[in-house]
Amino acid sequence: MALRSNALFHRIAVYALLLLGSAAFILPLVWLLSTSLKGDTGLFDIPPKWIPDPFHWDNYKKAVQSFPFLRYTWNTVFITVMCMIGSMLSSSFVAYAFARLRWPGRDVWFVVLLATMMLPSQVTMIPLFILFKELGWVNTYLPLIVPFFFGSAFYIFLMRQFFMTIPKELSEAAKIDGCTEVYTWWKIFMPLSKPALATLGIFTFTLVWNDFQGPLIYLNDPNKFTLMLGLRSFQQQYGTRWNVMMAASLLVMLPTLVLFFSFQRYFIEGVTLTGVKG
Amino acid sequence: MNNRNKMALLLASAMLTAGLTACSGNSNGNGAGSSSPSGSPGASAEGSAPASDATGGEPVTISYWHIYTDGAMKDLTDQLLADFHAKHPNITVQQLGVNFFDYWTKLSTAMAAGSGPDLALNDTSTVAARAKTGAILSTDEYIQRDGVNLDDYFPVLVDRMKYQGKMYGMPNDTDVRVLYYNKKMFKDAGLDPNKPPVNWDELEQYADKLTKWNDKKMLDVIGFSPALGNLHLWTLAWTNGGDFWDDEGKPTFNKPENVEALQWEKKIQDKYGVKAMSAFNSQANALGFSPFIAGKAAMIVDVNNLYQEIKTRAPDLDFGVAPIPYSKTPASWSAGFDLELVNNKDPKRAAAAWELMKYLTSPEVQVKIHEASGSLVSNMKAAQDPKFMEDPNWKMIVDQMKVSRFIEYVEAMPSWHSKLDPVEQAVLNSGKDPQQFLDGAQKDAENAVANFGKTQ
Repeated sequence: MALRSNALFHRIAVYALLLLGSAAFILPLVWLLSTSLKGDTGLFDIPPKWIPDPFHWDNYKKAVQSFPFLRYTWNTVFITVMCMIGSMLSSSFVAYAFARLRWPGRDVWFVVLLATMMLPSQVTMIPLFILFKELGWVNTYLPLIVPFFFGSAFYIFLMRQFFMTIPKELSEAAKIDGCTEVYTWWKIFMPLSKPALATLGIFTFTLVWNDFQGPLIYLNDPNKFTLMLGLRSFQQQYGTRWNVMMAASLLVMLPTLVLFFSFQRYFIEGVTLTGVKG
Repeated sequence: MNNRNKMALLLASAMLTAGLTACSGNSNGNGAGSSSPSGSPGASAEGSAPASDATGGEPVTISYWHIYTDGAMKDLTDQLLADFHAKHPNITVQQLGVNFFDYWTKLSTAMAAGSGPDLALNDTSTVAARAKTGAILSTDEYIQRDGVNLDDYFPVLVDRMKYQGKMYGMPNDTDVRVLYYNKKMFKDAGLDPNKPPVNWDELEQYADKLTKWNDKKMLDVIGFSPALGNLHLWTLAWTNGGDFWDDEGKPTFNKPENVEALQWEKKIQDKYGVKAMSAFNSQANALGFSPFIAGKAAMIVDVNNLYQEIKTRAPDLDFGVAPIPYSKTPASWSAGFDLELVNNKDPKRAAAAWELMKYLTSPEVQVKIHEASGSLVSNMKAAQDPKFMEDPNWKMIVDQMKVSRFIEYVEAMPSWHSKLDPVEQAVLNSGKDPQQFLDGAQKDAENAVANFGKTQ
């Protein structure tokens, strides 16, 4: 009896903690929703009013009218999808070489690759910009997309770790049957790595979807803008339309939210795989 | 199976987002259309285009970057550019608005790589830096050719646009700090609502009378606090005859006049105490607007833009505007935006960009800018238009331009003033010693100048 009540107590404690944790995480979302439905006054009332009265649904209308919402959505989707394809193909391809092929200096190059993760993006911003300008790529999507087709250290690392867990026998059997390395990568490793690829895809999605600085510096034509640039347009030197901005933010967040809930499993696997949060 | 469900969910979310935008199709079209009048550069060149004086009537496309991404100024900018295009059919303007906070990243990256816009809104305080490197073009020849009268613009702004005696661009708009005081609270406290404090002593006495403590030893109303609003140490020091740089470009941060100003600020702030002040601040920050508007501060030094905010948020507020109380000489601080011709090595585009610059700084347009934003436009003919000057508060704001100063541009330390804010905060919030902290700032400035000297 004593044991059972102890277990019960244990469970209550665990659930209470979990509830508290989820409350902490859901609160900003609820606040976002609440603010997005408020009028122009009382946004910062103390104590805060959680349920606006009346609901200002017109904030959503204002949000999608303030900038070409549909156009920016399409632009963002296009860039994001291209980047996802690019990073899945290139990173896994390079990772295969690091995980399965034996070549001189492989481990040294792997360390060099990892070292590039230590370069803050601010350092490379201007040189990269000048490079892309010389290529005539400013004000196109190329500077945003093409780098993803050349792999990135973190994703390569992630894929390599996963490839190392795939039994050698598989690739050796393929080799005996006369399979080339590229074919082995494409026909054996890729299909077996779906969870890792999904993780990689999700990481890329959130990164690119939420990227602000890249589009900010490379795009000049307002018609080519992404949603993140649109969101920032509500902020002015003197004052911000917070309610409308929150309404727009919620719309922009929706795909990420849906993606998270549908692929939650992979998010968590990604964390356990790498020990790093996406 | 499971995957199919996920795809369906994804699709549904995409369609939901799309559906929401669909109902706004019309205005979307408007927004996109007006934001890029560049759609048909060919069309504008056709027909009986009146030859545009400067550019010889040849079709030319220029880009103009600014910070107006929302609200009245965005609409006005769209309108002005449409009007400009009607007047100069051969000039097509591709505009790009990026909000104030991100604009500087965008502009500096682009200009560093030599791919900036033809016409850029930029920071008036740092013109000299860009003029020196040749990043922007002098506008002297255009000004002379077109007979633009620089006397129409606030002298302090024209002065800031000059580098080695030549103009580099035109001033667009500026701001100025003034004292706002709540007339009703003056009356309630037995003060004359038509006699705002003129000097530091009066400011202190009035503040004492206007401050209201509640029974919990907390502040209901602050009479005056140097930590609220937009009063910076350098502004107050200037009113005390202080200065942070001498004529030879040497720092004088710990000059006695500056130390006095900081000591005076500390004296005022210490009356409230850290505990009451932080409680007050956390309340005031939650407001989302100035404590002066909320009736939580009886007097405040703030930017002229607060006047615009009062008009929209609290039109019934009974208040007055006065010069910043001084100790030795009246002074105020201004910053501002100018328009600059970015050196893109294309004389035709530069000439067209000048036309747009001239248009945007003309009195008629500047009147419209003031009406839309309430900003202190650089063209005095517009800022001092009789219909605006009827308003005594506005007149008071404009008059401060006679005594207002800009931050000195110091090549070795372009943002020297931002180093003073932490010093001021350390003294006001953490009770540090003014003399000691200004001595420290002086040493830092001397080092910066010395290090810079080595690189030259």
